Amino acid sequence: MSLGNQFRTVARFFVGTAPRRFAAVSVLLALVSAIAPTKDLLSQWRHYQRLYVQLIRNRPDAARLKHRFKGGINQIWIPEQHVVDRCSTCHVALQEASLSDVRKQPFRPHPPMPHSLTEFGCVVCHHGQGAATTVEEAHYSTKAWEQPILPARYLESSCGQCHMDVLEGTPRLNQGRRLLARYGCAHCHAITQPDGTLVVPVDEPPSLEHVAEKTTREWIFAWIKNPQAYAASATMPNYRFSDQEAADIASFLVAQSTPSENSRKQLKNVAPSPGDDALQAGTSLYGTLFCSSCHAIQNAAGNLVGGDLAPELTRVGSKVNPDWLRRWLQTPQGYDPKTRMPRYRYDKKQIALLSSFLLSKKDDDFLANVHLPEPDQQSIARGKKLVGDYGCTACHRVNGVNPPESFAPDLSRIGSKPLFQVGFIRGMPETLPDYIAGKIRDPRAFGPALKMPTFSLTDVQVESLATALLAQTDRAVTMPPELVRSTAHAKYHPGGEPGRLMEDLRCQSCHIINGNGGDMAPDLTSEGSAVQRKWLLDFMNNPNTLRPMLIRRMPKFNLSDAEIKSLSDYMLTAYQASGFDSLALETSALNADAAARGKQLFYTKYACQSCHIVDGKKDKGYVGPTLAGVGDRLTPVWIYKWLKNPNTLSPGTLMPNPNLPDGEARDLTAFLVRLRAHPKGDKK
Amino acid sequence: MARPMGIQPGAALHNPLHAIVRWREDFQRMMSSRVIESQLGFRVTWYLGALTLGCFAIQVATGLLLMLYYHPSIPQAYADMKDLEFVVSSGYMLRSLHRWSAHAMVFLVFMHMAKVFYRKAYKPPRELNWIVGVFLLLTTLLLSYTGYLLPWDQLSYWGTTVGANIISSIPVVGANLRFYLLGGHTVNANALLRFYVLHTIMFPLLAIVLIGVHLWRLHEDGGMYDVDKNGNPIVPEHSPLALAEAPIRLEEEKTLSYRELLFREVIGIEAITVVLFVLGLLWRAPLEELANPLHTPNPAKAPWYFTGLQELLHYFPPFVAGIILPVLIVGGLFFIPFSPFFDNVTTAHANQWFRRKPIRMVIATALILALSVLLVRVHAWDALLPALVVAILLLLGTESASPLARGFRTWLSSRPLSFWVMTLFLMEAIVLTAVGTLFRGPSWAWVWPWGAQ
Repeated sequence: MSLGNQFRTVARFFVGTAPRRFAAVSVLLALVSAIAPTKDLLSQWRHYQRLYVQLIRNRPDAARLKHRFKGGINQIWIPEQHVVDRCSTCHVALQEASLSDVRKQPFRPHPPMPHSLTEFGCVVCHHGQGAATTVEEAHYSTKAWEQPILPARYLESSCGQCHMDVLEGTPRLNQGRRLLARYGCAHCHAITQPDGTLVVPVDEPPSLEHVAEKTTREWIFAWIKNPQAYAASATMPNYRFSDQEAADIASFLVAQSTPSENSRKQLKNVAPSPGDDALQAGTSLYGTLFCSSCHAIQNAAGNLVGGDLAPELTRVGSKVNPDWLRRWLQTPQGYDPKTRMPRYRYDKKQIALLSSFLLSKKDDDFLANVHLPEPDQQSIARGKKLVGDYGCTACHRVNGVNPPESFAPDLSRIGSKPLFQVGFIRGMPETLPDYIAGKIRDPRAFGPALKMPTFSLTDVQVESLATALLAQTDRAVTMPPELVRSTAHAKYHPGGEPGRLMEDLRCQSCHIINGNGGDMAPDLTSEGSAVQRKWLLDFMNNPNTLRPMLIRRMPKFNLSDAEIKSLSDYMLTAYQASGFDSLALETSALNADAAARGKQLFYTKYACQSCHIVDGKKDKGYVGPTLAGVGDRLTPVWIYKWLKNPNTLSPGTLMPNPNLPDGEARDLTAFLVRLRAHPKGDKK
Repeated sequence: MARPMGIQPGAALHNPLHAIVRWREDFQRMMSSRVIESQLGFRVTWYLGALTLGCFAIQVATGLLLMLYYHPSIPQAYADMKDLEFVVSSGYMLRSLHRWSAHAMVFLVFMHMAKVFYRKAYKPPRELNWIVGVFLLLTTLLLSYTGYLLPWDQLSYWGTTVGANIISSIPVVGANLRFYLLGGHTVNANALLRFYVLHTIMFPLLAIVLIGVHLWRLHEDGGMYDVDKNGNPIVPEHSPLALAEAPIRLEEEKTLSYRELLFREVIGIEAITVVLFVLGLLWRAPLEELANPLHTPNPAKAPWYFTGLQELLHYFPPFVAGIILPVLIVGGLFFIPFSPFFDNVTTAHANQWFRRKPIRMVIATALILALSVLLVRVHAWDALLPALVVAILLLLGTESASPLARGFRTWLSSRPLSFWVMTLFLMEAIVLTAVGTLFRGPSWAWVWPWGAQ
């Protein structure tokens, strides 16, 4: 029989008559309809659960783990929050702390976190598709679900949806929020936070209303072209202007400049003695005046030495007009009323020496190749238009150009921006974190005619910023107010004569008082309860350091005795914490025996000398402030309350809570109050 | 009509067992009582009617099972889709079966209609059955349209919105009709609930009643329609038609009971079930993101059986493409059995439309010119293509039979006008639907389906 005939015979056997056809099709139907249930048995999540059972079989606590394991689909279901999270179907060991050595996913237990799994579910922090039970749909962006799992480096943004306070466990988020304020993003972009307040920028872009008396057109040109070439730590971004544009803007800025209050004053100079002496004296004066608490200068090795509160001075000699500098040092507010720099009350010799030092900080190469043509009216007009178009006045005050309104997109809900509104660059991953990070890195890559300038940020800084911005979600904005952990404070301005002094001295540039101010120096909100009057008066007269390791210190202000008295009295009266009356501690209990016991506790039981210095020769504890002379500095009640619970007096302090019983606290207090700076009599 | 059985109506009242017997008789009414063996061949009907019924049965079965898991509320509907996909055992299979069976049913209904037309099975006495069939076509499309909204994803929401907006372009009553359909001014929770009730209760009941009538009429009209080699219809012996009137011609082939036909139809239904299962295993029913009224996808396409209409909408204003043309089409469909002018069964050359060639040429040329001018004016090149093809065939068929004429041309020249109208309609439907589904991208611009830019 030929092959064809054989085939026909076989075929006839199976489908020759109608009943056989029926049989064949029915068998086929049965087989095909069995495929789907079989695939269910082989589903991905069952596979992972089987792997888990194998994994725990050989572990020491296998029986317990097996007992706790629930097969089948597991879900966290919170109907009120519309949460259906089935992650624990594959990630079965999320709450098994004993598997902490297991690194392989999906069996890794969840790291310790402040919230329980069932409180909010998984997706609120990690994103992704909670209802899915396959890897593809749960983790990645698919047609049915746009939002993939949030990469771990951006995870802290989820905490930021509810928490506005500074949390210990969210360094990236904290840094990102600081950067948002520091790099002036909030000058152009409105960012409303969950508690309803706007992000307030903390950088201080100087006013340009009198810029012509401060610096030259050439310097402005070079600065606009590349701010970081002048000062590596400058936060001003690069607008990528062409040479012509930068020259036009410089011409305009010089043309619009008006005379400042300072320029109308007479300045009596003292000519410094020529030669190296002046420079040497100026350098050491710069050091003793602690200018580097706020200003940084690059040293010979290229490292920045100093603080970042104020402009970098590495090349300031190439920038400023010497006459302007002298007037500035005498009265900063006469040039810029809003500046953070205090009026230091330098005498003329100090001003002269400082000026000669600062003017020596030059870089002749910086302006060597800058040759600008004479400005003409067209150039000035073009410059004015550029200043308006690019929103310079969002940060700087300029005569004749008003601050722009609604200049840049509102970023209050950027964390929930739907992807269909985003124009991605071809080839980049199409997720929201990548968009935000990409935009910060290179803003103008996303389209022609964009105006956002490029900031000089490291990769870590970019990711931190993206983390902070990703926290600005719809959920954050619609959070019930009682759930928002806010740190908003009412604006605080000290009043009266002491208030005027504090404004003049700009205390709040460095100190926080009642929630307002800079974080470089201690919080003074309760200082009146903490310190003794005499010490305070001495300190204001001659600030010395409590932490010898620090470079940045409080400068000496040359205050008059009346000024010191006014400030001190004000602080001692107004800056009191509650519960610090004389009833808080029985000072009669602080006798010599108690002090002896306290000394034992200090050195032996609690080893406080590991962080605090009492005896400058022996102790090497540099973590906390020195306690030599603390008996003259702090009030006994403060010492006692501090020892009982440091965190209530200074939230977030590094000092651990020693959990002292009352008696031990009293003994330690007794010991400490006897530590005088100038001991008279019995030190013990 | 005399009945061979002797049980009188009302006998059930006296003896319940007789009710069962009577019920069997009524069931038999649904099926042709006798079939001729030659009519059982696949080539006769391709079992398209049976396959369509099979799809409907699958829809009912899977639909009932799906109803166990579905809540027609927002956003629970979409969450239920997720549950079906991820949690319910073989839930994805249920959903895929339901979806592909729906598409298959629409396709098969069109095929069935075309087959019935081309085999002339709408001729008397089957006019009523044809009318019922057109109603069934409309019911199928409406079932599909209402079901499309239920997953509440982007596809559903915008497809429904496009459809509802077409309705609103009806003059005078359009806006109100849209409001009644949606239960509101936009597609929202009311629309979802309304469509759910329509899809699970009202239209299925209507469909079941119409199917019943359709099958009963099939029985009453003499079963399946077939013609012998001379073009004369075959009527089985003992069929009601044969008994009622003088038979046109009795075929002396072996006649079988209806069970034989039913058996083969069951095989067909099982086969289509197998095919649908395989389709469901290979390609899952799509689910896009949750419906977002703020984000219109580009392009927002109607379900594939309406994309032909959407393609027409690209060229003509909504009133024309969405109302006038569909009304003309549906009206034309209803009118087909009653079109004595368009075809004639009484004489040999009766099917020629206008016996004289010059008049045929003139009419053909005029019609085609008018249509082509209209289409060229609106730049509807894809709609022009079938018109040109039909024009060529028409011109081919206007030659009268000559010694050199080939069989095809003779056959073409004997086609009635209804043939040309239906062929043009079907070809346009196929081309426009294909273009609208595959060749249209964002902003309804032309794209090649394989993605070449």
